[in-house]
Amino acid sequence: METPLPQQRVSVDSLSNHDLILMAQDGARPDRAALTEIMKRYRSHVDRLLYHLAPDWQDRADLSQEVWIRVYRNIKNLNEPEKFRGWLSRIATNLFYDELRKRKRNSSPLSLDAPILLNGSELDWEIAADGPSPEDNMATREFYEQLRVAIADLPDAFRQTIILREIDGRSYEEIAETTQVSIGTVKSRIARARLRLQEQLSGYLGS
Amino acid sequence: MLDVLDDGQNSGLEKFELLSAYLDGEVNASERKQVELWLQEDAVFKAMYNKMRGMHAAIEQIPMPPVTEPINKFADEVFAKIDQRRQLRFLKVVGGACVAGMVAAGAVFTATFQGSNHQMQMAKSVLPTSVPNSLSILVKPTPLMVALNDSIVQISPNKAVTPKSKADIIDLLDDGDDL
Repeated sequence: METPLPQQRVSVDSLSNHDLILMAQDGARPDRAALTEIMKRYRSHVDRLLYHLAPDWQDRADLSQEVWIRVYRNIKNLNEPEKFRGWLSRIATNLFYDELRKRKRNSSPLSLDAPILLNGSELDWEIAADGPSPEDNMATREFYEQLRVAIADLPDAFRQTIILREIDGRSYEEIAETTQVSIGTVKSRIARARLRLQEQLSGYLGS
Repeated sequence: MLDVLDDGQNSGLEKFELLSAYLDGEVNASERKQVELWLQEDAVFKAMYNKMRGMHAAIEQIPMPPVTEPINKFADEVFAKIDQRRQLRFLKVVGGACVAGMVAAGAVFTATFQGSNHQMQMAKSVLPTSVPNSLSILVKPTPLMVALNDSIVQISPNKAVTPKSKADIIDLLDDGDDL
């Protein structure tokens, strides 16, 4: 007589992302152990996204929790587990934009949509001329700190666009849909944001 | 910065935008061909491209502030909020149902009593406008009314007295009880 093998309880941390999401979707309510493991794997992605999208918000931790509450409520609606990362990013981004609309921040944006004056004052960013030599500092903490500050200082629309591209890896079409502008505007904003960052950090990037 | 890219046919900004889109893989076949030609022929353009790539890689690698909160604590906080909101929703639903029940009960109570008054008012408003003859149809004769119509004391037809004169009438009135 064949005896059934004792069913081993599989630890969630040994599951693949795909299986983990399926596990979280199973049952009347999302499996909390599975969801905790998903948080463990993807929390840094959400935090990074929010960190750059909303660098001056003091309550980003609450926003991050809110993202995961939405994940909990909606994970059953995710039909393609392999697209979880993109789905998660959209939740975080949508939440950010919802919150942004609520706050109706009145900071007057420095428009980069206006024609660029190559030698004009509008793009005359202060570049640290006496900074460290570029060869030695490309990978230094100081460089990254300067870069972080430079990104944070970008006008909102440009910062959000470049972050959705560089951090989240979204296509221009997806960014256009999210930010509700044309693909041409996305293309222009990304280029101008890059131009500004390169100008500001030219001391680090070399000639 | 971009004027160095200006070649007379294309502005520096146009070339920079195209280069940026090329880096992101967002150009069509002809644009790709054009950018690759510039990269081959224009050292300044090539240097710009290298800077852009360096920046692209750097942004991806910006270190994040260290996360001090353990993941389990973070998850517990998330689940606590979920539970809290679920309880709140439950209370709202139950509370709402209670309020709705009370309103419904109140409505039934009001309808019951106000409804009967209303019918009486209708009856009052109809009756005065009815012709008097209709009363006989609406109001059935009751035994009491029959009794009132009948004489209390049966008078035998044999004993009936037909007054013949004024004096006889006076005698009839004085017959019996003293007034």
